[in-house]
Amino acid sequence: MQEDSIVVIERGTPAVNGWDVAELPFRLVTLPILIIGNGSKLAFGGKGYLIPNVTHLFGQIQARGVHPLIHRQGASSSIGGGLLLGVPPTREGPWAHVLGGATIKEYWLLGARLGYGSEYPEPRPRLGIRRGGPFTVQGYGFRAHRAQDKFYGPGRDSRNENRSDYDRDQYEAGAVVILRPLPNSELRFFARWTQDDIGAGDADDLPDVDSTFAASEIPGFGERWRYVSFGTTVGWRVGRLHTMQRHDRWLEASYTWNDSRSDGAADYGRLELSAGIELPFDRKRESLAFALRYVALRPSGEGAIPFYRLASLGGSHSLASYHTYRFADQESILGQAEYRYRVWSEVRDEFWLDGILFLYEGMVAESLSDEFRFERLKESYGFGLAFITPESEVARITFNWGDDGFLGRFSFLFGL
Amino acid sequence: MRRALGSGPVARWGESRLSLAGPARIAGPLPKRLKPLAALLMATALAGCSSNRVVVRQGSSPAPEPRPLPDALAERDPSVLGDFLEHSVLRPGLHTFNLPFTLKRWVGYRTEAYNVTAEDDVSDRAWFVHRNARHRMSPEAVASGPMPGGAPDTSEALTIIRAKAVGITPGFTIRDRNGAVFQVKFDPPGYPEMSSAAEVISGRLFHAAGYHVPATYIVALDPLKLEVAPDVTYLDKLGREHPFTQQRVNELLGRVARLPDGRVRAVASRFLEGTNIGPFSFDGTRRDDPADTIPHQHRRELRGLYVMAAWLNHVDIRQHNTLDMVVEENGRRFVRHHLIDFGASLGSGSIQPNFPRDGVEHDVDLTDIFARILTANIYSTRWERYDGGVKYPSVGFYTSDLFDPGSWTADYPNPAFYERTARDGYWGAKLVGSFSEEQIRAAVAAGQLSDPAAAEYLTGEILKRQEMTLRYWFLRATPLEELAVAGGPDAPSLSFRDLAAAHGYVRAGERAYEVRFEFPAVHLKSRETARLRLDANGRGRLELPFPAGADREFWDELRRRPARKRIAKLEVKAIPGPGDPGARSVRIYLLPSRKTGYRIVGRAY
Repeated sequence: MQEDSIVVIERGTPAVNGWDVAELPFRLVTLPILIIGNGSKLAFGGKGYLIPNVTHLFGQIQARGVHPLIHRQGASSSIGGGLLLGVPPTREGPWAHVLGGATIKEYWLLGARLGYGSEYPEPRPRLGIRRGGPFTVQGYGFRAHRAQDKFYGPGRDSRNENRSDYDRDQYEAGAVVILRPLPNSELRFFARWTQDDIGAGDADDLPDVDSTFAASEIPGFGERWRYVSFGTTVGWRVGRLHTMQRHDRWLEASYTWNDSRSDGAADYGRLELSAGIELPFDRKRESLAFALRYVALRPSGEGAIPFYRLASLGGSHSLASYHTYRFADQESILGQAEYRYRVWSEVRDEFWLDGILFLYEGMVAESLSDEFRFERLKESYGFGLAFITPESEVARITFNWGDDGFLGRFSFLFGL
Repeated sequence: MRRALGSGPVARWGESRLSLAGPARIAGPLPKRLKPLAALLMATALAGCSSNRVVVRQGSSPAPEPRPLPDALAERDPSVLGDFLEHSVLRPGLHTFNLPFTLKRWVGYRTEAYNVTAEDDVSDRAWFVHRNARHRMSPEAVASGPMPGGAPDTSEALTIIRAKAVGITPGFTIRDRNGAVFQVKFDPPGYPEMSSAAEVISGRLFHAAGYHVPATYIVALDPLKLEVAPDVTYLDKLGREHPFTQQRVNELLGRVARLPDGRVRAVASRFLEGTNIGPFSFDGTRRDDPADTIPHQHRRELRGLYVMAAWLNHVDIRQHNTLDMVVEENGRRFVRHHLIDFGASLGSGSIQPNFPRDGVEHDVDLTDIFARILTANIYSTRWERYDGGVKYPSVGFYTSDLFDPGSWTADYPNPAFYERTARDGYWGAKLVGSFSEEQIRAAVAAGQLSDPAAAEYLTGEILKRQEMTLRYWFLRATPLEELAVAGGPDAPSLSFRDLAAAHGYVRAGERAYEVRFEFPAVHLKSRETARLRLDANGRGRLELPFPAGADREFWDELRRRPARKRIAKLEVKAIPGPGDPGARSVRIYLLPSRKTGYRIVGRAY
């Protein structure tokens, strides 16, 4: 044997080792994930047929003036689909469209709008002033069906066990003039006619409000009540609510006079004041945000304010650990504090994911000046994640705790 | 019997341990009854450290030639989104649930690359060809790049035969009057020269390192000399097909910055030779290629690519920026594997400058995300508090300030990078270290940056990152190179060059090593700390033990042994200086030789 016959030493493919054996059961357990993952790869596979073709299809539809929408219809409505046919209010000049949508909880809406001047050229902010040209004029009309709105009883001592539902058939027509005389400011005048028919709710697992509450506690139930309302809003806002700029600050005052056109329904005025500020720090990676909102309803003359129009607390953007409309009365106050911190950003800064730690405090009362006590405040605290853009918060998932216990929430801001 | 060699610094070994009393004796075979026990012990050892497995091959049994390629290979066309989801979300998720896998990573266990040679190197020319590291290229050769046919002839009209007319920057496929076909891309608005320069500079350096890349050229196109071939169409944003007209060409070029003479700067990539069969994946193998037997994530040239990619900030290193071509050379058809599209490297992100996050954190990094969530942002990565930005629009964002050679990240996890070990890193660092300042300047000059200050800045940052890269990896290995044994059986010694010392990363003068020697055939075993004086180039010499009294009978007996039982192993581990990281050892496999004492037959860093 010659020494020169040895020419190479290499490691080559290693033998199966102890780590491989230990990993085997875990690989088996995660096999379904792998199968699902590879399935999704197939769905997106090849030239990536699925996404481009869906995008293409949507593009072709939109080019014909039909805009598919993710449809939501306010609190409790869940999610569904909708369509807008015509020109959306996203450009200067005249526009008009009809729109409709339905959710999986059988809420639906059908309406038409026409106007002049852009209203929101980007996703709508959740609250406050919408961006646009120097003015916007619009008229609208819609019919909406709210299949299972919830009510827990009036007053700050309402109980979660009294959760019950009702059905609300809405007709509304109105006109809005929005003036933007100064940067960051808005003056809004509006007039509307509304008709509400309140009946038994559609939810199978909940009692109807009339079986839970006395008639005096639910004025308007079983009635058709009409109102004509006039109002104005004055607002100033710099920045947007929870966006990547973290520079939101606003003041807004709104007053609406609601003139009853039905027997038993009271005329009333509604005053809403709100203010907020977001203070960024650490190169805008983090911010502290504070908001305060006060709502007061003042009846005038005979009759009662409809129970479904009371000032309320509860819901994703209110006392989040309580269900929507969990507390309702003639006055409400809500204070919110959030610590927001960026946990992920899309590399081109088109999207961010924010972590949120929050504490909300609020209460309702017939008269806050008489009944307000700090120890009576209801609190809600927790943490969450928000998906935000340079223009708005798009979606938020929160884990909330309060007197009613834990409540997980997912909310998003697409929709009609 | 033993003597110190006269030339150069020499380590002395303890005589008492290494010299054998009387004539050398060959160790006998294990008693039969102990063999099962030995096998069990071996299996146990392998279970914990299979990466150390050594295979000794006889020269008379070369590896068989792979079967010939089939006539037609399927073209791979993976989904961009699917690839992103798999590597950014699915795999990290699976790893999270795989506790042994996570534990294995924590304790630092990695499988070494499968395809390394006796020199701890690679030999598969379909993937990699040693260029600068083995034979120093001239700066001109580095600047010239692959050069298969040269740049497009722009003196005559160029014909557009395909068009990409949507997106931020347009792109054309053109044919020149010689029939050569090129992909032409332009710089993004506001950043003239940025992506075209990055494409050419990085391409030149990757090529000189040894990777297969297309030939790219900076060209100045005269819009008046661009003609559109009949029947060329393009798809708009809604996927509708339109004829691509001369008017559309003018519209698109209206978005692109003009040179003072009205021409448009672009980068032209010559179409690669052969048949396009799509990109290669950074994991698994290509099933229809009989030569593709090593899982790609375990290929040294792809794991070591991490170091080159980190140096040049090639954050977009993913399978869609690779291309396999079936080529024929010397009558043999095979698949050649290319890296393509370096437009998102250095400071360029192709359609915009890179961001400080590029190279520091993946686009979606679940570990960082959860760490921030759970710590309410107490945890942060270094880019988040970085204040610097783009200094030169033609360079984009390329800095050494945020660079960490060991934790640099691509935009999303690359399976081969994920499997890399310190040895792969050391191999890649040797590629990076092979470039001289003149060569780097030549490569930057090929990018034709019009602002000398921008070119100087870019060169300076490339050099800084090169220095950081070498320091990082050379201190984590025992970087002994240029190994040679001399002196004969009476006084064999190993001469070497310590790259860490040669580059000045350790204090000049004395360098300490922990040295282990094993020669099982003669029961020779030792462990010493050797303190060597290295010269200014990091060269030193280590005296090797050899059995005393090796007579003819000894050599005859040794020859009768199978090869694997004649191997001696020398393991040298650099002892780190104060503040330096711990270094991995280099194992050098030696075969006794009558002429030189030993012959080096293998090494593993």
